[in-house]
Amino acid sequence: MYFELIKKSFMEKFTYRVNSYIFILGTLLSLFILMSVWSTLYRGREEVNGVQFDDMVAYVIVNAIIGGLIYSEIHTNIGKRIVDGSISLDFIKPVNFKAYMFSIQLGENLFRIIFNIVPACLFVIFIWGFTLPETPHQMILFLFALINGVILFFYFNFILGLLVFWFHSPFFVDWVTKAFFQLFAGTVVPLWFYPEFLYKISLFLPFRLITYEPITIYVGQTSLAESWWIIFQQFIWIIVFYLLNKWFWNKSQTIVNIHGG
Amino acid sequence: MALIEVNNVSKDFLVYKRKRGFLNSLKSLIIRDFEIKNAAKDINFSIDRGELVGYIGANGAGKSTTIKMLSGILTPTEGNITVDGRIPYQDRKENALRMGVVFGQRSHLFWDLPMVDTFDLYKKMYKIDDITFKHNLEFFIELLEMKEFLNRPVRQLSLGQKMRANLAIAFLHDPEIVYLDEPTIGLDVLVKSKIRRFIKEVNREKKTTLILTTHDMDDIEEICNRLIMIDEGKILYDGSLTNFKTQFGNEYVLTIDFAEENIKITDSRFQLVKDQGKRKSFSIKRSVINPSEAITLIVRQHDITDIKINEVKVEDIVKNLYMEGFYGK
Repeated sequence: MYFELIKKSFMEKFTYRVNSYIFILGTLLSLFILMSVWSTLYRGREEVNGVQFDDMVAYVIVNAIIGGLIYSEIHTNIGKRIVDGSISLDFIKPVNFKAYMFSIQLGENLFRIIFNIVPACLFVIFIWGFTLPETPHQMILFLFALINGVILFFYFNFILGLLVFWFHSPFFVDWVTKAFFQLFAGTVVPLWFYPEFLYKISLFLPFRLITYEPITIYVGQTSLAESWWIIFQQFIWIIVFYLLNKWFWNKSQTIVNIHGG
Repeated sequence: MALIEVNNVSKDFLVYKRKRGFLNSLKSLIIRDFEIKNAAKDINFSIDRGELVGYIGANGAGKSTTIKMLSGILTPTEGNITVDGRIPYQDRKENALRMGVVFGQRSHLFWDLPMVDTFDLYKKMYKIDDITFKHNLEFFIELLEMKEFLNRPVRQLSLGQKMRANLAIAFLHDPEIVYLDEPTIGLDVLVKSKIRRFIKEVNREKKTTLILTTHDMDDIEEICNRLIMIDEGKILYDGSLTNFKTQFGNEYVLTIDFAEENIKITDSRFQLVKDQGKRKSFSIKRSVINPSEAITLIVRQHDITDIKINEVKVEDIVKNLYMEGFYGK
């Protein structure tokens, strides 16, 4: 059933072709700007802070793809549905609400990655090249960490969405997510280049585990032991988020308040 | 045991009060006044398998709140509900598998895909087997005349077409109970009659229990055999439709074409409501004189060319009840 949902939301995306073209163009531009900045900063240097230029290129590309994978409107969607009351329709379906929302989002994201982000990335690869991980186990660990990161992200996202039950306004949710991510997840500037105190703070937060850490595994910045340590931390956070989520969900069920007729 | 049991159910909402003015708005950021609104007060009823129940009441009377509690969306503040032995708001998933819901103001359909795609999804979601699915789909498409727009994206469909699709979805998995919350809202006469025919047909064929809320009394008169009326969260009437008519609509209108002009009926039991020269209309209480007596009385004294009896429609009764309150003024 959830597979069917993924398929449907994937198909639905085919409707708006122009949208798709504009999105490719947008992704292309932002990747191009980012790459230009990095290549200027690296000019004449082999490495900065122990990070090679090739790793930087890989970082930007993998980051774009993960960005597409964890793109989510779930929190704003839940928020909107709570505010206008259409969440009542979701409550009367014999499905797991979380899995339901996640499947729809995943279908859309897969579409976006395949038809929008990958084409844009190919362009970047064409100009600046692209390196694969050196060893297969690096790749496997990366994929493993990536999946964990995605799960972690969606739990976080879902909790934020549920908060709308209490605050009755979905607007803050998007804002909070973006702010946390850009600052502590290293989606704009990798944490490699962060000043000491910011880096320390982000160590205590889960956000770096979503994009930054999997990529460091990918480019081979971490040893095998460190990679497993990262994955272990991801598990811990997933459990924390899972419990939080459960608690919020049960709480929200009792205070559900459906508006509008 | 009845299929649906509702015992002493109440539901309260907190409503935050907004005061006018900027200062008050600022104040409301810190302290908010609220009041408790009782959307439902001590509601009791039980519904048996296969019944067609009309659930009526003015806007804001508590209809939708009741439907939402029955379907498991809302938890009652007090009292308990069982639907087919399950508690809907605790056993939400099990309950959902055995019911269908149509909200006239909301849609289940995927906006950018043809409705058949949504049907496919619901087949998987409700684990409907191939034979039932195929059989039901054919039956519904035929009955609701949906063939021509089956493969068109939903966003290009009219309200009536979308409504019909939503109706089909609600019945697709052969649910035991279907809640219809204003299924005919905003639809034209033709579509309305299609929908009514569909509902009656499905009930006859599959013995589905139906609870229908509506503001269109023709829906009630054509579909339902039982009526529950609610106002300000309280049940005012629960019984058969015929009983409702005799209890509250005990007046009928007699329209008579007299042979001559200037006829005066002095009998106080005949209340003149309309005077069009030869044609006069009288409102008469059934409890005072029944129609046959009234006609005999008139015919004995006057020459008449034509006579017509108009029953009061449910619509008029309800209108009166909404306006004057249940016990009159």
